Amino acid sequence: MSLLEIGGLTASYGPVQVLHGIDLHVEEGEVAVVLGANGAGKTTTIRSICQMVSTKGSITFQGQSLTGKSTSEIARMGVAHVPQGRGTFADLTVVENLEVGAFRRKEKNFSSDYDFWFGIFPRLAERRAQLAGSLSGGEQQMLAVARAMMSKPTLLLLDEPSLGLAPIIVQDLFQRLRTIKDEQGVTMLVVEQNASLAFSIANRAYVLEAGAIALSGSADELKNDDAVRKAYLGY
Amino acid sequence: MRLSLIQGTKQHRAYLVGAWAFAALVLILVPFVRLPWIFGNPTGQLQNWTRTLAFAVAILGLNLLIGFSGQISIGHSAFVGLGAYVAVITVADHHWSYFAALPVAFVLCFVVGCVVGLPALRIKGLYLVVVTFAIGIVFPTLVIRYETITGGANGKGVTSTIAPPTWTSLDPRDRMDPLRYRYFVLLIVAVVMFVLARNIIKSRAGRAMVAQRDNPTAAAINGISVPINKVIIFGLSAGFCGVAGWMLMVNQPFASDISFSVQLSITLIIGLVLGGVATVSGAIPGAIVVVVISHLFEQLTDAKKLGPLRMTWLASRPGRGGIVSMVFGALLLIFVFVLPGGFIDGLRKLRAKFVTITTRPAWLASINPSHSVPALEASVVATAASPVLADNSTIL
Amino acid sequence: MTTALDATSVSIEPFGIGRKIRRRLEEIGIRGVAVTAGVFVVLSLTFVAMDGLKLYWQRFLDGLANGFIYAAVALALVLIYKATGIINFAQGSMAMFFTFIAWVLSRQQSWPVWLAILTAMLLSSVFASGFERVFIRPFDPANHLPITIVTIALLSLIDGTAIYVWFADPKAFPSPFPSKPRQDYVDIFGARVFYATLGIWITVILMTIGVTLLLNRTKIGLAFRAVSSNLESSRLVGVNVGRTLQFGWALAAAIGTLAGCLVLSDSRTYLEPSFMAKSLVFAFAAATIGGLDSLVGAVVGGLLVGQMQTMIGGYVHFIGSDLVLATTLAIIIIVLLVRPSGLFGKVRVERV
Repeated sequence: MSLLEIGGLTASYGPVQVLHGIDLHVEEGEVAVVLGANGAGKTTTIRSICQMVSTKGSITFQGQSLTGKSTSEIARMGVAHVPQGRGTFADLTVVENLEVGAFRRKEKNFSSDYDFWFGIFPRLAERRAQLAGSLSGGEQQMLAVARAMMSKPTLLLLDEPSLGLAPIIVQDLFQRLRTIKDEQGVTMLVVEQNASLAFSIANRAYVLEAGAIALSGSADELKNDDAVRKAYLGY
Repeated sequence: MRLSLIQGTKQHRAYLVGAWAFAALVLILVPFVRLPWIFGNPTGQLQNWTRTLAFAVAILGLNLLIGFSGQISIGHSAFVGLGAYVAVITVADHHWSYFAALPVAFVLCFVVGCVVGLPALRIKGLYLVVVTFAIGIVFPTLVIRYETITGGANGKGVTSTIAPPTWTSLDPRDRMDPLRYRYFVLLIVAVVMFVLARNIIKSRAGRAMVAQRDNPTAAAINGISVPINKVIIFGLSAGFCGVAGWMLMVNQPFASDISFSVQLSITLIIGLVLGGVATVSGAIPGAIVVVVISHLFEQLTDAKKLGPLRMTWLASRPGRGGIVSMVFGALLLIFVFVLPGGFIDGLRKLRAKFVTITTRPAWLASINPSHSVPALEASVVATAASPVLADNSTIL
Repeated sequence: MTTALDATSVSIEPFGIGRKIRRRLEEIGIRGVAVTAGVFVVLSLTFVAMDGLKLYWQRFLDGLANGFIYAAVALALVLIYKATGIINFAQGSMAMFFTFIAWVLSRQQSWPVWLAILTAMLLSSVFASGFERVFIRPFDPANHLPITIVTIALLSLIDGTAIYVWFADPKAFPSPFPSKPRQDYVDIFGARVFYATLGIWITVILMTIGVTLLLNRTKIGLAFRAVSSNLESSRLVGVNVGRTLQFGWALAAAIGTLAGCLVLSDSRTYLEPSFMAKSLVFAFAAATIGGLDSLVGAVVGGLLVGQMQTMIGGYVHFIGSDLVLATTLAIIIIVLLVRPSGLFGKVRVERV
């Protein structure tokens, strides 16, 4: 049984259907990426998992159905979601953002966790008492990832982490994501437009076109697929 | 049995004409029909119907703001009061005619409304909520402060009223005739205000207003000047309330500080929600419910007017005045949950059970002999018109 | 905009309270604070020159007492506004109703005053959380109009009930502070400060500290601040938004009830169904001046409005006491024209 299994997923915003029956699965410990152009339905897919849009079809996580559950219940089950636009708590300090991230955990003291994540993202350590709203885009993205990881999630969902960031910062961020993957062994589902970046950390890949899965397979297979190379890697 | 109509056909036109004729007939017959005792004596009944007209115009004005621009105000009682005092003061102290006071009431309230709304050019968010609430509370204190002009807590009245001219062949000394005349005068004013409101909403500015209510930023990007629209709409809604205040004074020319407290604003909001947020015609059922309920409770709890349904236990209670507020509050809660679209929405749903109106299919336009336009053009017109028509039906 | 840039370019300093205050001051805009303080000082000097220091001092202290009450009510309004983006129009009515409950407990059931007040606060919290659960939560929190209408319905319902049950005639509320005639005040530098006034100061200060601790030191407080800051992200980290907002409603109701009882501890005010109206308007004004989304702003705004009210009433004779309300509001509108987001509010950049 896969950690996350999605079958026949459809989703719509009002009368407009965005997803037309998607099947995908993520195995424990692997990183899956969903590639696709703007408007292909990548963000909708990831938001469907957290039930932030109305969906039909099956979504099971650790054998439990997620459909009909509230977003916060799903978060408490161990699904952490770094939304597009990062979703930092602008009025809270960096440390408080991390503390909120650990909301589902029962412990009281997280200082060792703070130290750990400040170790991974030293920029955040420098700004620990600063309001998150005053951070730069890259720092906010790091904070969003650290915040999500503070919940010790079983599954981490990342929605276009490269969006709106300078290339050098994106490189740095993915470097650290790879570290997190290797050291923490957390399962990830990453939605990305930047295919070469995505392939750099992925085990499995899906290509989404107009709300349906156009291609799927292991990351190595897809990376060498001619169509994918032309459309997404540009060579 | 279901009636199925196609938009633009003769049958549909007949249906519309019939509906409007029926509405007109009801409005014309109102001053001649006597309802049972519970609605009071004949003169009281008629005055209440006239009062309903004034409330309908006030609710309509408030709906321009709340329904169509998405801003809430609980200070519009002040504008109703301003309009009322304009009427009372000019007529009583300066011997104007009522009709001369009407445009003054509208324009003054419009201007004051714009001035109040003006800071909204700079200030976003809840500015209007806070300021309108403040205005609503402050207005009665101003009435008290300028007692020499307003009559303060003792109130100010006018002895002369609008009397029926001779050509109407109504008897000025009759008990009912002058009331009937005033009813019809105010009915005309109300109809004019309703037509005006409908046109405002359908105008470019009105559509802009709805657009900015639904997404201010997107509206601004599309070249709509959000703040100026907001200010003008606030001014207009204040102007409508001013006219309503004038109407109240034509009906019963007496104003005092307590008649225009925040309680009045709340009553108007209740009528608005009960009638239907963001509708034009909702103001009518809303006003009827509000006026009738207040009246009924007055009747049932007034010791002197006890009828067979007397509520002695209530009549003897000093706090019985609270009942109306309780009923209004409860009604408002029930409506927000059960029928959030108000009476008008309910009526539409009810109508939908019996009458289906479908938009005109394109092919019909080409074979309908009453249309002289070429087939292609007609079909373009029909398809282009259908979303607009659908829009209109949501507005009315 | 500029504040955000400034803050990132601030060099790294050891983290501490001084830095926090400095950043806060930068966010507020030191100029705004300086202008406010300057105007305040100049006016104060003028007033001292007019009627002497002693009278000014007395009025200053009186204004402080009113100000603390407005601050408390404004705090309740801002709590709800910050978290939900709506103004709870029923805040004053709820406070009034549960102040009546406190009156019933202490006068008719002869409970000790403080016990009665605390019980009323507790009951108001229970009521508010129940109300939130049944009548507010079913609505989408992002859709403000229906929720605002629900609060107006609640206002009408509560006012009506209070009038029905307790009528409109004024009742004396037992003072929770020592109030023996002629021994009920202390002398502070020549000004007479009643124990009731002193009690109001201390109670509101303690309450503000309590609320701040609750919001900054507890898990539910953190959740509340998270929800206020970003609703969607709060859901994504597993915060139960509904229950958190319920906590906000309960807290605001308790603060409101306490404020209601404090209003009445001034022996000149009597308990009747509309006694909160005036405080509520001034509290609205205070919250607006403070920027509506800042708890500190609510308190400072309350104190400022309290001063404005007393000073205008006391020194600007041609206005007279009837127009204090109108004048205060006019001043506030002018302040807002100069600083649209209030003295402490944040300027936000909106994204589509």
